[in-house]
Amino acid sequence: MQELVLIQSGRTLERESAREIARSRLNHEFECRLAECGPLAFRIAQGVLRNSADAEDVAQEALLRAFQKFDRLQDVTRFRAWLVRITFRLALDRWRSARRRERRETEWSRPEQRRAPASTEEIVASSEFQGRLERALEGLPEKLRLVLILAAIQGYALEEVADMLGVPIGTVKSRLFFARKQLAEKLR
Amino acid sequence: MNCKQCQEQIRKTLAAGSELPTAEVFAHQSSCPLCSEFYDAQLNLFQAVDAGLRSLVNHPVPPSLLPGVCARMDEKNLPQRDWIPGWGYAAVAAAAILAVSVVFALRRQVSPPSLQGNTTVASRSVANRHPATQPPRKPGGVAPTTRVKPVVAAVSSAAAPEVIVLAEERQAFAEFVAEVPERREVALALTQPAQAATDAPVEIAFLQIKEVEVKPLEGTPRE
Repeated sequence: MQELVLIQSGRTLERESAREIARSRLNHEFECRLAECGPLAFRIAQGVLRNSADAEDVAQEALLRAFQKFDRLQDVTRFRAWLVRITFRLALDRWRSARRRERRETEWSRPEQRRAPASTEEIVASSEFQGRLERALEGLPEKLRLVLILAAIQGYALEEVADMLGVPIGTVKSRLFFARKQLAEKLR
Repeated sequence: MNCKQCQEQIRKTLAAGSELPTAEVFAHQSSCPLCSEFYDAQLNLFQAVDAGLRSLVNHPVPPSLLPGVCARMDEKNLPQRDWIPGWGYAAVAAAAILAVSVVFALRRQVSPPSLQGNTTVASRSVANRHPATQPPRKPGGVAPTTRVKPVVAAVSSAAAPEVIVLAEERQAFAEFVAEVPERREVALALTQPAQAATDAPVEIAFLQIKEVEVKPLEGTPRE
């Protein structure tokens, strides 16, 4: 009986250590991707939210979600595409809720009570053309918007954008064409 | 190629990411100052759009991004729910259900006295020979709202019999009780418990048939 107990505990230990090894390997694999994909997540969030603090928060949230479900990802090479989708969705959700909140506050507050831009960076960013561009970007369909953001990120060719979105390069080019055309029409 | 077609072509070319117009557009543009101006304006617009998008997206990544993610990852890696075993949730759920059912049972027990305030005295004991008290009705007024549920009459003493009367039958019952002293047999019948009808036990016996005597029919012609 005693021997049996010893064998069982040994097996449990073995299983525990195997699980621990697998977990640490997974963590290591994730951390390798983190250095490459962290900035990408941040930039996507920044493209949607146009606010560094919010973008950082959303990027962290997206990376954390990706980490929690990393073991369920069947094809690890698709990690970047997966992360792009998570980040874009989260950023859109945050943007929508911020817009709702802003609308509520605008309704309840008088115009002179509105918050003035805080930093020089924000003042520069809120210049007339930039403001119009951002509003025009918000008015684009989600697919076109994401393609524009990804294509604008430095260091990614259109082939990589196509890979991230899981669509042929022709589709990326066509979406980019329509997105730019619509933007130009709105800004004319 | 007219100006409209040329301008449309310029827009398409620039939207596709190319800055060089086609030969046809270039030929028209060189002879048309309006289209040439349009081309410059559109080129500026697309360049501004590209620059604006790049400045919007390519913000420097905050240095706290990756350490922040790593810290949150470590938090998630910590075993947080080890103090609750797997069956713990089931036990907690069962305890919650039990507690809720006990509370309901207790409430049910408590509720009848609380209803007493709503009940009205429908009748008194027959032995008292007093008619049931009724709330005074205004002549010609609307009858009080009737209740579907039978109301348990308040008991004046433990020995007096209880009578359950429907709210809409209260008046008739009161009149009946007032007449009872004049009809003695009815009063006696009311005080006596109803006789239980008992059926006589069924007797089961075999069917007895006498021996059958077979006789030929008279008057039938024989062959």
